[in-house]
Order: sequence, then structure tokens, then C-alpha cells
Amino acid sequence: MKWWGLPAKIWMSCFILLPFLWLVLLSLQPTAASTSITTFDLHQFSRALTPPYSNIIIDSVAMSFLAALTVLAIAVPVTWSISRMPSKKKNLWLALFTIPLGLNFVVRIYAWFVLFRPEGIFSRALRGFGLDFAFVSSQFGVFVGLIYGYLPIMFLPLYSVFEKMERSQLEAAQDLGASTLQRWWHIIIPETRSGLFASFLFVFVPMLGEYLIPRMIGGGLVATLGTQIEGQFLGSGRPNWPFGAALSICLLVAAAAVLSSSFILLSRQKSEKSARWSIAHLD
Amino acid sequence: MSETLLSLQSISASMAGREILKSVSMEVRLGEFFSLLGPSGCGKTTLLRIIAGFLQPNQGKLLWCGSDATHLPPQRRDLNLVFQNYALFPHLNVFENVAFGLRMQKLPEDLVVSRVAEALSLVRMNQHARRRVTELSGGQQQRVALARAVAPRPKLVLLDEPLGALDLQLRKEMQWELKTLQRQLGMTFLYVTHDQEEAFAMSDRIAILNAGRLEQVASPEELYSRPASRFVAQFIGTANFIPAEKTSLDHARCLNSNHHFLLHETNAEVLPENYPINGDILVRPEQIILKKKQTEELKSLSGVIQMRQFLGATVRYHVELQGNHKRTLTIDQSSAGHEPIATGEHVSMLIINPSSSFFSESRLT
Repeated sequence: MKWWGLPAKIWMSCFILLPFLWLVLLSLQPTAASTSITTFDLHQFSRALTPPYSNIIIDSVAMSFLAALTVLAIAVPVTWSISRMPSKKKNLWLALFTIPLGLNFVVRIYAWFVLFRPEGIFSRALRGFGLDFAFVSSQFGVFVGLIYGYLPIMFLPLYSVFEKMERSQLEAAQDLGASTLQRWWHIIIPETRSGLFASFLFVFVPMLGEYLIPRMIGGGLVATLGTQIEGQFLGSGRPNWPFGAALSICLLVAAAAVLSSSFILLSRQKSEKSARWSIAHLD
Repeated sequence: MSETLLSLQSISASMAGREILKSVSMEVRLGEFFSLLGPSGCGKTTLLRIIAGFLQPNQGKLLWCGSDATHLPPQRRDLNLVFQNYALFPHLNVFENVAFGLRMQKLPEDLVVSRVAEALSLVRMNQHARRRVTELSGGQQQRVALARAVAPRPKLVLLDEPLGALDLQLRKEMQWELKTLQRQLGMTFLYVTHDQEEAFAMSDRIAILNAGRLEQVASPEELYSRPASRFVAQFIGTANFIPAEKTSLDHARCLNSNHHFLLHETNAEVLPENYPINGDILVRPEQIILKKKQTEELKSLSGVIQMRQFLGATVRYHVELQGNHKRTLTIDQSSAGHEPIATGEHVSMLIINPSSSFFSESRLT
């Protein structure tokens, strides 16, 4: 018996496995009032997987996925350019970009609400230019809020990925005739692939369960998986813990599904490439 | 004289206000093995990066086959670089690493395959085509980097101290291989190194760079026997400077003895009435014959043995020169049939070089 695995096992059982089992048990309760551990049914799940809740789940997954992709698309050029700076400048810029992380999340999000509510200065300024759109209480507003809220979180993991990319490799590629676009496509993306993927997950998964941003910017009018779960557990109306537990498990399954399908996609791409290599060699 | 491939015209470069290259002009000929040799920090890597196109010179021009290529981007220069740390692509296997340049040229797949196979067999790595580059030893990575650089058949291959990370034995082997490969391919190699022996072992011509200035460009033989400056004389092999005075255009006399030298340096700047000029004669360690001192000899220098080192083929002596100008000389004697001389013994030294180089005192740095 190898004892050194024990701390990890204890941690897993106490803080992950047991609470999760409790969540599963809870989700199998037929009604909010019942506390039986002998009668189970899938009533809560059938409710979660039919409209309107099934639509909310799909919308949330789609929105988080798109928002995480957008964050990645913004963070990649920014962090790349920082990672290529001389080291003195690098630290300064990295600090500037991650300072928002030091501010309270609620304050940061509330600032958006203040600026973009109908009587806020940004909204008034935009109206002055003839642009009138509902930002607060709209799906779009929540989407932008998610991007803003999670952008600084993406910078650090992505930076550490790009930082490791050696200059000499890019120069070697350039020397062998690769243009900027070809260097990205053939060298940077393949070499940092797993890091890009991890950074994406780093924001996508918490976005999926996010309820502060939809609550504050959405003003209770934009329903996401996060706000629904929160409502079932802490809501001012009638809390329904078993239903909240079922929604949580749906969230977990959705996240796991996106994760595993991306993994499969990534590894298939890799094996296809290596198959091409071996064919090329055998000829 | 063969055709000029690359011509540098008064290239100057500075970084962060510090001058790194000072008006460097030289030519690399088609098909030669050319080395850039200099101590670390002399600017040779900067010069290499300017030739590859990663840096722009502040002043000067770079001519490629006669036309201006100073501002041509690296990907459009018909030359490939072998990096000091190899810079292989870790996500690609050996085959794909070597194929990279060919794929960038959009060559048809069957041509790519045959060119890669050819390049890999040149460096004896065709057995490892499917291996990951991260699984290879240093010497093998070196070979893959070389194959990757020659596979697209560039006009010029730049090598940035490529053997620096290898152990001595492997380095000697690779020197031989590089030279053979360059002959086989008929490509022009520009080799950057701080190792004088390495440059001598492979090069047709060597450029000596010191503190951003080009000291001399010549064949190894010429650099050794006719160095253009004290720096070159000391940097190439071991140099003994023996006090002498120059008495005419091609004549010098040793100050400690009655030795006379014929000079092959003909520096006509000096007016005849200014002779004699004080300075030093360059004498290489193997150009002196040591003898145990018996009687006072007019025509030889005398000294005292300070140390003896047995080096195998030669025995090296450190001898203190006696007389008005004391200094320590390094003298090599062939170990074949040599009778060892003990430390502390008085010896006489006979200089056997027929012609030599003279460096006046004013040039002493």
C-alpha cells in the first residue's frame, strides 16, 4: 500500500466525492419537501430537460462557448505581443493587464451596469451618436459582461503558454520560408495547442455556471443556467433544492460533454497528422 | 577566382547605443567554407543575424549575388540557418522537421519525400525519420538541424556555433562530417565560431572579428604565418613576441641577440629616415630550437627554463628570456628523439623562421 496517495484520496472523498453524492441523492428526490433516502425518481431531471429549462441549458452552453472563444480571440494577440516584449516592459504590461483581478468582481461588473444603464454616461454618449441599444437587461449585455469579466483571468495562463515559445523556433520557421500567417498556423498554434485549450477551459467552465454577471447586467431578465441554479437554492421565491441539484448535474454533464468532445477532436487531428507522416515516410 | 555570393559593404550596427559592428566589409565566395571567428562578444552573432535578415544594419549594404538584399525579409533569402540550440520543432517528427522548408516552398509531395530522404541520408539519419526530435541525442539533433537547413538546397548555409553543445569527441567527428558534407553538396557554408581550432579544421577562409571590427580575412595558413595585427597573432595559436627593431622595409634585428629577420610585411608608410623602429617580431612556438647552453653564442637568445609540459607529440617549455627585455616565451619541441631539459637550466634558443611579421610598438594595445 502506497501511503503517499492518501492525502489526495482523503481530499477527494471529503470535498468532492461525498458532496457530489449528496447532490446526486438530492436531485433524485421527487419534491422539494421530501427528504427520503429510499424513494427516488427522475422527475427533477425530466423537468430540467424539457422547455423552458432545456432551452436555457442550450442557450447558456452556447453563450459561454462563444464568450470563451471571444475572450481567447482577444487575449491571444494581446498576450502574444506582451510575451514578445523585452523582459522589463513585459512585467509592467502584464501587471497593467491583470490589475483588474485585484478589484472585487462585483464592483467591476457593477461598474458596467452603472455606465451602460439607460441613464448612464456611456449610454447617453452612444445615444448622442444615434446609437440606441439596450445593453442592460439584454442577452447581448450579459455576453459582453462575461467577456469583460473573464478576460483578465485568461491573460495569465495564456501568457505562461506563450512565454515558453522560443524565439529561435519562430526564426527557424521564418528562415525556412514561413510567412507570419504560416508561422502561426504551422508552429505557434500546434505547439501551444494544449495550452490554448486549457486556457479556454479555464474561462469556459466558470462562465457556464456564472450567475453574478447575468443577475447584475441582465437585471433578472436574462435567464441562464447559473441564475436558475442560484434561484433554486437561494432564491427569494420558493427554493427547490432537488431541482437545483438536477440543474447542477446538467451543468456538470454539459461541461464534461464539451470537454470530452474537444479532447476527442484534438486527439483525432493529431493522429490523422501522424498517419500522414508515416505514409510520407514509407513511400 | 570564384564568383562572389555575398558581399558586405561597410556594415555598422549598434544596439541600445552601443556600437556592435564597425564598418565591416567582406566577401563570401560561392562554394567556399567561410568562418567568422572571434572571441565572445565580438559581434559575430550580430553579423550572422544581419546576413540572415533578422537584424537590419544601421549603415552599410548587403549584396546578394550582386544585388542589394539589405532589407529583404528572412523568409525571402535563399539561405538557411543552423541554430546554436538547433531550434527543431518539437511537435513535428524528424521527417516533418526536415520537410518544413520544402513544404513552405509548396513542392509536390513526392519531391518533398525524395528530398527529405536524400538530406537525411547525407547526415546518416534516415533510420530515424519517424522519431520525435525530443527523443534524439544532441549529436542526432544536430544532424537533423543540418539536414533541415540543406534540404531546400539554399545557396548559403549559416551555422551559428552548431557544435558548441557537443562533447569534444563528437565535436571532432562532426567537424569532419561538416567539411565532407559541404564538399559533397558544393554549397557555401558560413560558419560562426569562437573556437580557433574548429575554424582551422574546416575553413577555406576565415574572417577574424574583434570588438566589432574586422581584423583580417585570409586562409588559415596565411592567418597563422602572416597575421595582420597583434590581436590576430595572439588569437590564432600561441604567439611569442621577441623584442626587435625594424631597420629597413623588409629587415629587422633582434634586440637580445644578433638575429636578423627577413620581413614579409612591407609597410611603406614609414619614411626611410625614421628607421630603426622599435617593436616585436612574431615567433611561433615551433619556430625555435632549444639547446642546453654550453658556451656564449652570439647568434642566439638565451633563457632559463621555467616549466616543462609533456603534450604527447610535442614538449612545451616556458622559457624566461634573458637580457634587457625580460619576458616568458612558449616553445614547442617535437617529442620524437627529444632529450628533456630540466627546469632551471640555462638554454640557448635558435629561431628558425625564414621570414616573419613585425609589429611596431605604437600598435601595442
